[in-house]
Amino acid sequence: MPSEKNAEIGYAEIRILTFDMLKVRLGIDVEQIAEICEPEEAVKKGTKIFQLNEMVKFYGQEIPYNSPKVLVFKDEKELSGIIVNEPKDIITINVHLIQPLPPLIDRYKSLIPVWAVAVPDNKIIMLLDLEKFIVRSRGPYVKINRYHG
Amino acid sequence: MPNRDEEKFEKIIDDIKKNKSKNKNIQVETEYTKIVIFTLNKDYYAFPGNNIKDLIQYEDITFVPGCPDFISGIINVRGDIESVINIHKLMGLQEPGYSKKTRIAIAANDDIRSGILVDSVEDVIDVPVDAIHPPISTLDKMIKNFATGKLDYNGHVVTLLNVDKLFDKIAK
Repeated sequence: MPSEKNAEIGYAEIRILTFDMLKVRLGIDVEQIAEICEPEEAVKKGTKIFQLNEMVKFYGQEIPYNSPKVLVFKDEKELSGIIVNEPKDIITINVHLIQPLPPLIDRYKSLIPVWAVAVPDNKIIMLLDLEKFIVRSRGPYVKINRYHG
Repeated sequence: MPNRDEEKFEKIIDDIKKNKSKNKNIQVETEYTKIVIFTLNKDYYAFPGNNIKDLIQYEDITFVPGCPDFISGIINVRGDIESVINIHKLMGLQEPGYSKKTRIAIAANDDIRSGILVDSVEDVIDVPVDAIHPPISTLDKMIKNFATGKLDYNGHVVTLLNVDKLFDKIAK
């Protein structure tokens, strides 16, 4: 289902799929996600799978994948997606709860796949731009990691 | 009739009084400036008071994936999302870890606003401007980049840092 639109002000709400990477809660707009599937299934379909922590600086730590799922990106060009650990709920966020990145961090937006921060109930959820992430991964100097299950 | 010695003594006293009024010190109003004194690895530093908007207790900093390591992440300050600078990394200092004394100084200039993580905040005081001297020449090069002065506080040498230079280093 698409996110609800308000004709006057644009988007009033967005629906995001949340998941945790170490202690950080992340969210992706469901409109960017074609499907969620098991890694083996994604590999069978020939999906290029990327790991978030290999694409961007992420503590430099290994991220345990206890219950991995692939979020397949909605893209006509090719089948690609990122592997995440234990996706949680799909929640609806009012746009009034969304804030831009602080100016100092925004200056590094070419390095950061985060487009904004949602703060529902005073909890921080970083909103990932999956398209930016996948497009970046297609660059010539980026390591592509195949998930072998 | 006054004796000769008495006249002499009176003249001496008169001369002394005249000299005193000539040498009377004129009181000049001393200019003061507010500074916020903090520590990093037990060394004392300060920010200009007009750059510091708030001082808050340490809270969990949310890492932002992809950020350079001199940006610790973001925090929620009364509903506003603020960045937090890792000043230890910026100045080439060892990071001591967090303690009960760790604070986040919310600093701002005309363009940028950000939190800065410090080991402790020792004091906020007004100091005479002429108590601030040029920074010591033996300062580490990475610290010297941001230092604009030094002063004494309770037996400690305090290095005054320039917030504009800190922000410029990160923003450019």
